[in-house]
Amino acid sequence: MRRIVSILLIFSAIIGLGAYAAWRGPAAELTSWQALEDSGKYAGQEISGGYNRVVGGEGGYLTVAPFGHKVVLKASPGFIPERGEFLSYNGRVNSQGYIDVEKIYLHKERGAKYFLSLIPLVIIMIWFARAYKFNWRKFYFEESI
Amino acid sequence: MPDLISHCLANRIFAQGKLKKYLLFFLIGTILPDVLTRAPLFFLSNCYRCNWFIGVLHSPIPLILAAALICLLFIDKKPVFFAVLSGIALHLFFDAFQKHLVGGYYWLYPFSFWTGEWGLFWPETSIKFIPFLLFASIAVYGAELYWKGKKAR
Repeated sequence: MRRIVSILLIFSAIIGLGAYAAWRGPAAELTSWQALEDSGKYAGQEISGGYNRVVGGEGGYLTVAPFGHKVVLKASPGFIPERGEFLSYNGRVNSQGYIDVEKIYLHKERGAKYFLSLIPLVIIMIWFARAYKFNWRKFYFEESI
Repeated sequence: MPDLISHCLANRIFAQGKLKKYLLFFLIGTILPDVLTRAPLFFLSNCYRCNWFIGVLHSPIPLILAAALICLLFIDKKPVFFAVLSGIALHLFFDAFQKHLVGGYYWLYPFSFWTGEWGLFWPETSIKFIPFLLFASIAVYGAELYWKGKKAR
């Protein structure tokens, strides 16, 4: 019984830590789309974006979509990443409603990284499933015989 | 995060002594920070607050709690806890070498939202290290077998 209570307490603590971050975290950073919603106020402010997916662009303007919000970046006209690619950038907010990009980084291997990460995950899951089985009566994992 | 193959191969090199006996739990600890955070965020990529909720679980204090939670589900709690915790600690150590322009890891959460990294490489650069890490872990495994054989003789 004490163990079950401990499990519930620790689980609640983890959920509480997550909830606290969801409540207080957004105030700790200014995002690109928040800055562009009031671009007059934040004009000239340095801003960065990380791992944003490219959803469109032409004529030197790129559109990225962090968390479903559209953000327009002004990059050099010759820079045309493919749709769906991920990029990070440093830039400044322009009062016209876009970000003047100063530095841009493409993350071409991001998809490969996720795919490769699945391999050890599957191996460890199979290994665990073969080595242990859950005893619901005792609420323990026990070694499989 | 570097990819999980790099994490597992690098951590395997350090799995010596008692950790080798609890290798499965050491590897569970190795992948736990990313399984707890990146996997759910893959499905909640458009939810900004979810990103905060789940993202901070990749911090030392929530991960220590997660290790405690896991060990309570096993009979031999103490070794399971230390094996999982060792895997987590090495995972966070290797993550600290990366760079992010936004976000990163909240090392002091819940006391602060401060993020700090050494910024030596981008997270996805780690896939280029896999051949070297594979070679190193095979070499360590070979050396372990050699010493084991020598001891038995």
